Amino acid sequence: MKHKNTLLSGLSLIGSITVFSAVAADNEIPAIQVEADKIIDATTSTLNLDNSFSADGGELLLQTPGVSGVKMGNHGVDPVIRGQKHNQLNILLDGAFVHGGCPNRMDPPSSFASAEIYDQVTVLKGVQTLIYGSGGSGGTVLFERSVPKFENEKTVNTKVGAGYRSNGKAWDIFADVAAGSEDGYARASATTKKAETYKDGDGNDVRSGYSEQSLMASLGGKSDGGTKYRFDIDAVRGTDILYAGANMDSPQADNDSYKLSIESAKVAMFDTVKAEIYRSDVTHDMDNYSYRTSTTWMRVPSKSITDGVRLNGDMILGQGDLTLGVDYKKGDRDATRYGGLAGTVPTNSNAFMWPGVETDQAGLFAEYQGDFSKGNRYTAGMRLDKVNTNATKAALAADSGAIANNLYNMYYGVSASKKSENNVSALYRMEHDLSKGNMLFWGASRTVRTADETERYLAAGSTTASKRWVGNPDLKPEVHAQLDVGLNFKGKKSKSSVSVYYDNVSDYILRDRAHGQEGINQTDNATIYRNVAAVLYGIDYDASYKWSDNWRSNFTAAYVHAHNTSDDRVIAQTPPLEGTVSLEYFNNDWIVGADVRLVDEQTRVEDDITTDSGLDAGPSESFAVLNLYGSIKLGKKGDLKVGVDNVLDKTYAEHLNKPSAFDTSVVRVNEAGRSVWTRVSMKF
Amino acid sequence: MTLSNKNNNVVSLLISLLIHSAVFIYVSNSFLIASQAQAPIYDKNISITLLPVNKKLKDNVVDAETVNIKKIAEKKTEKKKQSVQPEQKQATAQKKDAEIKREKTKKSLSVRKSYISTLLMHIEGYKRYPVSARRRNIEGDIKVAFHLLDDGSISELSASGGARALRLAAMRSVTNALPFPPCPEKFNCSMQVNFVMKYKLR
Repeated sequence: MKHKNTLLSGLSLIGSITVFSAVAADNEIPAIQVEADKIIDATTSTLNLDNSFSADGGELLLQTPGVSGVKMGNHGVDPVIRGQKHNQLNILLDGAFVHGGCPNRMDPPSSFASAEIYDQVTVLKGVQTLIYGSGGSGGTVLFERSVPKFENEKTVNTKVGAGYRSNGKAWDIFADVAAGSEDGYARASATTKKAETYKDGDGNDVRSGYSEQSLMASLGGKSDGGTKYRFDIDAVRGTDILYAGANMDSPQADNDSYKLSIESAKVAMFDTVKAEIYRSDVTHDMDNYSYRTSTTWMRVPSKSITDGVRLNGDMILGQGDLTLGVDYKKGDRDATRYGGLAGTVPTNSNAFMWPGVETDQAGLFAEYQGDFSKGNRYTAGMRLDKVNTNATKAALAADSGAIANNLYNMYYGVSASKKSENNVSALYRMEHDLSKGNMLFWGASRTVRTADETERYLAAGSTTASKRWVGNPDLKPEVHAQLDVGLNFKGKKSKSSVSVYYDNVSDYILRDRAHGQEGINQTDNATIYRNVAAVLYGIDYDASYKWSDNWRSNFTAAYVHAHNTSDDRVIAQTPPLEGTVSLEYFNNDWIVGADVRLVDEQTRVEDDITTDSGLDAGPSESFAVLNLYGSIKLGKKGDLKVGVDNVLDKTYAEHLNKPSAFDTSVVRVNEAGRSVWTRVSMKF
Repeated sequence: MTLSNKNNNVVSLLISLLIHSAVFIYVSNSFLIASQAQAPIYDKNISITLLPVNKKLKDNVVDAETVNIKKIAEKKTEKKKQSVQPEQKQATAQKKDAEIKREKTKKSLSVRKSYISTLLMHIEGYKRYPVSARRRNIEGDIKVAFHLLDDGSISELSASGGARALRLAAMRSVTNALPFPPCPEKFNCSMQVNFVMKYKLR
């Protein structure tokens, strides 16, 4: 019986793969074609970058089922996957970590990733691999570029396009040119985008304008021995970025990234080896006077430099692939707050918000993906990380006399000192092919994320205690022990996938308010961080159904429940249950469809800073939003997409809001009312 | 290591899982190798068609019919040649030698072609589209190259172009296909084999 099952699953696998071959005359290269069906999976999504109009990578990611976003304005949406965010997610921009410069995350990594300068985006929910970095308990997002393909002896590939969204008069134009051959190429793409403040369904202005220019230049080559080289430069210039959900706006959000990668086949015992080295240099500025009026002026210029190296080697070993690698990442972050009277640009520093924070992390990892037997695959991985961190300006006094260490001492009884962690992560994941193309998978993982610079060292004092925001230099790393089980079903007309997960977190890093909790020396409602035990569990669902040759529907749902078990409290800023239903007509040349996004209310909130964390702007209401979309091919080279978002012009806001340490009146940012958008692109 | 006691249990459990899986890899590998040697994974239902790769290749492919016509034409020429003057005999003999050589080369080439064809069809039995790539929408063309030795073993196996997962899968399809079908008798099998694997999702 066991053998029969194995045979069946083997046959079903082979059955789903059709193989053709061609054996041509001498001196010609024959080809073997391997075709298979795409797998729909609730834990893995690839995004179509041309499908919608988006302000930045963050808004783009919201297309993915189960991805929510913390919203302050239109630009800088900070993604949340399975209720996890910030560095609980590993977001890589073409292999590089780009950490933003704003301590309040106005510029999360995805804000530097315009859809127009990337070729594909993959979202991996939960822990599916350990090779992209430490942490990543909530998921991994890969913004990637591919090597240009020069087909039919073409030497130049060109893509140009433009987009417009009526609400907020947002527009963008882009061009992408690659010239070369299989042996080497030069590629450049550029995009410029601008938007004004949009209006919500009631016609009220929501501060959300932005302006951004991105430029990417890439040089690729190949040596005689087949070693491939690539050098990429990215320059992103953001300005006039307005935030309805913050007390400041951003006149500058810039990133310069440089990356060199070398890839070679057959080095020593490895079948492929890839070495990457990168630097990202983010300059961010925010203030409360350039775009709004304030009685006292304040500005926070900041800098975040991240240098990284990654060396990966893969080898075929037995019935699988073994990946061995090392990575190293060093971050330097500095943010200083200046304040003064209205009318003059403040030059008096009153807080080293990020007091010269230096963090380095060196990782060593091994991961094996192999077959137990036909139709039974597994991944086993392990990763060791050594983290060192220090705040070099923690003992320095700002012009106002404020010293970060005084704040740490006041709230936690410690000063910042050099800290070191040794973190062990492990992953084990099994996949079983069942009959008829169905698949069962389960995974167990332990991942460790170190506290980020804000959680550990943020030092913003104030004479009003509840406006203080103090990082905790004594934070332990957050340890996630996760179980993940899923099923992929394939019917005659349907494909569906469901995944449930349970994440037991020890030392969950909780943003809280000072109420004299264990280890917290004050009860003055200041924003603080502490370790608690927590449990997160939830479900992701993704399905498609083909009604006929030309009609199909998609269904998605996501839910997460997050609880602080140490204090028996809810964990704030947890997205509510949500789902989407779509129906579309499609043929070879055009598509037209409608989707409805249904979001439940969230009543599991913390909205009182005197008793809990106060991070939520109260309970949120359920809502449904209807969108229409369509696309048509313009000859062989062009593509036109149009859509109407929020057709019924509803006034609504997502549950997630950007909490403010300084102003508890900050509320949810309303989404845009009805908005007509279009995108056109041409390829030559 | 600064691990809390609470986590030590989890770590030891995971380490134990890893060690067990390593043992399992070893056992399952030997099982797989044994089972493959007994029964190569051919599926009678799979249609294996010989297709030209692209236009350029199509033009160069000599089909069976064309070969037959050429052969008939050659035979006719030979008959005509038999009726020529005796003084031309030496030259004709030389020409014949050359023709025989050409025929031999042709024969050897066609044996070579048919062996490569057998080889590729054999490799096809071991093709797999990696599930991770099918899930992540990864497609691409992978150039595979290896040197085939006389004894049927291979060296310098390499794969280039495309995504890492596909490169490794392409290489594994070759290593899994070993040993290759035996070389035709009296034929030198030592040669460089290059082919492309085109991974495409539906």
